[in-house]
Amino acid sequence: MGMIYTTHGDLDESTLEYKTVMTETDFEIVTAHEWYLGDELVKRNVDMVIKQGIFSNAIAST
Amino acid sequence: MANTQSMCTSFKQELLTGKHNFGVGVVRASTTADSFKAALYTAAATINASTTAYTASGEVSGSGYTAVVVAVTMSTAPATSGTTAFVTPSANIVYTNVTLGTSFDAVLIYNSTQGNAAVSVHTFTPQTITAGTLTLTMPVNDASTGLLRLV
Repeated sequence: MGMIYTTHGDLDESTLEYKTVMTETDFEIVTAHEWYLGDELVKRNVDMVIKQGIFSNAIAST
Repeated sequence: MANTQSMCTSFKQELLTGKHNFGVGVVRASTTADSFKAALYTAAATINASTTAYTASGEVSGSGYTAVVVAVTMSTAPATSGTTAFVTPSANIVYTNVTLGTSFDAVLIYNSTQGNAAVSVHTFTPQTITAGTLTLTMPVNDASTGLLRLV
């Protein structure tokens, strides 16, 4: 493992506890990557996949 | 043969490329695409369909986050499929090495070429970022999932 940027600057990743939290809704899939130094959250990345955008219905009623 | 009341699909696409003007329009310096940017808003903000332009009110703040900077790449031209016109940013929206301790749940896309005029608001599950990176991965650019669709 290498060094990663945290709230305490660069730390050796091997000294940290890593957790992944995944959630999914109808609109997005979120993967949160969390690193803890003891009980302290020192880094949190979020990868959010937008499953669908938004639409405006432009069809005239018939 | 039969006639069908409809809004022409080509018109929907052309709305996305600024071809039609029913009111007071803008003078364009060129035919190239406008530039777009993104801004994040806290869960306590009020960004919605009534938003007309980028505002700093309610925007997130924190280490590494700079307002009015993050570009939204629109290198793929609007397209149509069936009767739907659609367009999606051609690259993900990424905020690198930021700390955003206050929960945020919306991103505003706005047109920085046209006075920061608002385009769309996309909400999501509230998030925080700690000394990390937020990546918003764009949906598949088609008529079913594209980021902006005129159906």
